[in-house]
Amino acid sequence: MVIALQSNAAGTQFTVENLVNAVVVVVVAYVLARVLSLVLSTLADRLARQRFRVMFLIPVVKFVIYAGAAYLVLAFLFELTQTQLIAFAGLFGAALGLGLKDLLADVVGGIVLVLEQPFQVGDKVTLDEYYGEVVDIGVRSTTLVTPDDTLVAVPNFVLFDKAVANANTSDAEMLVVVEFYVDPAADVGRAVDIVEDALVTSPYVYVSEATPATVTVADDLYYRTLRGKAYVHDLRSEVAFKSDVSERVLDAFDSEGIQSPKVPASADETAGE
Amino acid sequence: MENDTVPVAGLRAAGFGDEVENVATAVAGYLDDGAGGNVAVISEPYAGRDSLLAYAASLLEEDATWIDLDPSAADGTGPPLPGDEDYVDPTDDETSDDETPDATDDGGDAPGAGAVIVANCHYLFERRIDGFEALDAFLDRIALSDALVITSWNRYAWSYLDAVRDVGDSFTTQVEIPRLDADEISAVIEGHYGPDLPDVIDAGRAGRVKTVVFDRHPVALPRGRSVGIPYPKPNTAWVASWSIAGDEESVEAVLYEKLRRVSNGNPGVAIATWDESVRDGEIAPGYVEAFTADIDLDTDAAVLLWTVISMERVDIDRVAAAWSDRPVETSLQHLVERDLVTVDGSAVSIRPEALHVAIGALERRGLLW
Repeated sequence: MVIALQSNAAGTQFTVENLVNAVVVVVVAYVLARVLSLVLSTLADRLARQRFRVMFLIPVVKFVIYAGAAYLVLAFLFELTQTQLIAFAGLFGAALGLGLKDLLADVVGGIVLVLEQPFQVGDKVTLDEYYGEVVDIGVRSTTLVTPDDTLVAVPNFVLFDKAVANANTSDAEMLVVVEFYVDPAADVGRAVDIVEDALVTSPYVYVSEATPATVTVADDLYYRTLRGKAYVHDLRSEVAFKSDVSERVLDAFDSEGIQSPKVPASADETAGE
Repeated sequence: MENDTVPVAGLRAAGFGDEVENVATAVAGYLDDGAGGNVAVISEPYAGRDSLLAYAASLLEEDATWIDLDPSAADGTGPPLPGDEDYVDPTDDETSDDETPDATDDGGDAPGAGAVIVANCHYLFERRIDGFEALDAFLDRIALSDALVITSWNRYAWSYLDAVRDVGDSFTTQVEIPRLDADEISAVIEGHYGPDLPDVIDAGRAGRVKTVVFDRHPVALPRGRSVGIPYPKPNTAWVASWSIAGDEESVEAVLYEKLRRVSNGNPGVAIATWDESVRDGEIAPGYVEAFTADIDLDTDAAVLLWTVISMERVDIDRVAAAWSDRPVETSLQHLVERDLVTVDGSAVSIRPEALHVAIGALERRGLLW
């Protein structure tokens, strides 16, 4: 049974059957996108450090599926003519003015993300004020997992007016910085040796000619800063690497008598007052 | 020396001509002109690098001292070199002993500052803070020495040390033992066992290996029970061996090709796999089975496995003392349960058959470079 809700000479069919079919197409597209994302994620996890070769496909596949579904609904089910499409665009424009502007900006941001790929699923990025691993790039938002294991959905329009920092640019390796502060009277040379050894002996480190491990020293009035820089072989090990290096360095500092900075006397007095 | 070494004659026959020549050239320079130099022979575990050292020792006769390092080498400053106070000159009659392989009574009269062969230099470091002191001291001393220093290194320890300590800069001659092809594996087997090899039989394609095998996937049930659901799984090792079947009619060719694939061209692993594959005095391609294991390891177990592969023979008590903050015993248990390592007292070593599966797992994790 076909009930024509509206029809015209061009043959556009806004029938109940077409509406139901459109809903079915959208649901199937959604399920298909989710299933393929899950399959690709599982495959990527099996590839360990090579997972980025698969991860970048996830948003592309999702956008292709959703775009295909939209085309199917508009062109085949409702058979919109050029005139109707223009009218639809006009209505859509009016809707934007009534409050869908941000949603469209998010969708366009998602398209730009797919085309430009400033980051991919699996990258460690700073979006807006949030830092974490990208676990999903959706049509409307990008989802991050922060180091505190919190899921954050960042709207895609952030891409247009905020800086995006990508820590690894789709490589498994990522530079990690671990800082230590020592008393100016401490043996800095020995401290540097300890930090350097701790970096290169960590189970999470990756060292090569292009990705060396280094330690720099900065002098200040009341303390000296040792910045150990090394790459982890998998960015997911960032926190574990920092923890492993810090723990062993602090143990070694303790046993070698390398002391942390003391609070200056003037600061003590200020605090006392 | 390793037990699973391959005779140099076998290495020559197996096509290791370039590697043998590189070592011979360094030794000839010393014997003819007294030229010193530092030589590094690098290979995977079980790949037969000690055979190259033995070849160098045979050329040097009693001019060289042979030093085998063990895990305690990480405590010191490296082995003594000619000119050091504690160096024992092998040409000195009173101190000469049987440490030098193939020593003869010809007497050493080379014009150089001396020669020393140091096996297993990967024992000069431990992966911990201050674990490189012995290695650094040794590298400093060989840089200043005029002696001929021929050393051997585990390939994975070498890669690590080259990245973190630039160890390659200290060795003007580096000889890396390559992987063997099927014909070379055949030559190694014949060199190792002699001409009386087991009969090679054709056990029949269907009978010896199935193209698709059925494995069982465990599905958990209530009360801790589980049921295995069979699922088809391609036998990749066997399918791979088909690629040569069309070109080679000989069953032996298929056998050695499969042996090469399973051993990844490593002669020591090939010999161990051969031993495992002989049944009642016969061997067939289908009897050569690739090692399979579930290598889903946690970080501590993976690091211990890295240590075992890089050091080849690990004193577990020593590792436990160095890594007081890691569950070494538990990690070792994980490795033993997966048949990856063998334990002899406190000594732990990688099983030859498991070597490449373990290496593949660590490479995927980014632990092996």
